[in-house]
Amino acid sequence: MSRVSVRLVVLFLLMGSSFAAAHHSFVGDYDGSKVVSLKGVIAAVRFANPHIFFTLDVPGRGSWQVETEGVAKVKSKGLNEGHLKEGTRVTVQGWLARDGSAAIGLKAITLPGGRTIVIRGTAR
Amino acid sequence: MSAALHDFWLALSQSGLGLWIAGSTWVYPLLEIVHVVGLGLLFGPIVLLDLRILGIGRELPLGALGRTVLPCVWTGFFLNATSGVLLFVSNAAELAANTPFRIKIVLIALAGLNVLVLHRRTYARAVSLATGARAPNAARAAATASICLWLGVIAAGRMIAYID
Repeated sequence: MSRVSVRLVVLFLLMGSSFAAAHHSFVGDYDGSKVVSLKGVIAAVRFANPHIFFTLDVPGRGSWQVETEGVAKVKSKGLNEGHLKEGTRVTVQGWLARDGSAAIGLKAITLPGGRTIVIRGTAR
Repeated sequence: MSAALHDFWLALSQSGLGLWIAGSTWVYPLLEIVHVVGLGLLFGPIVLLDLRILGIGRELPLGALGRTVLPCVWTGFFLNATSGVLLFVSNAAELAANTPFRIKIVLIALAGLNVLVLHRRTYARAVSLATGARAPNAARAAATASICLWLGVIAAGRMIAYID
């Protein structure tokens, strides 16, 4: 191997290792062993790609941020924008944020009519 | 970032175009597909040309190689500038405040500067040399900078999703 290619390989390795430490994913952000259930009222919604977020006002437990998948995935599970309107009372099940903040990654949501939509089976 | 600038980016992301890109089911993923295709057209040929300047595949005539790959590079750049601006519009306020995104933009600017200042000055000389000759040090420096900067652009771009 020429000196140039050795240097390039070293460069690739250095970049790879320094960025690997910063890599997060769903399982990186949310703890798959800690499922919680929250009942509350939807306060704000960003029904948009790449990930949908909404906030849920939970009586006695404050405001929670709920993150879920992108638009195409949640629609394929049967959840659409009309279900996530401000003021709607829902129960969500999700995994707690690893950083301790009031946030969950959505596992399932129960709509006012009692219908439960599972968005994600596991946190992995 | 100033409050006025933040308000501007927020208004942009909440414009009809911004809401359409982020809110429709497939527009955002389609733009991402274009962005990845553009990246392939841009980065692969650039690295090939830079490695040739650094001495790999020295039996290939540099001028002919450049004429072959540069249209591909410019096509990729055009696709990515266009798809990138549209993806930015859909989430402008958050991206403008995002550290990896800011780094990415600076690195793209530096890569552009590298093409304008270093490549332009040294490339013609490197091309004029006989096939198989060692490229001048300035050209080799520009080629090394190019590879490093574009790697940095890709890494910073990917980190937008993982770091605030």
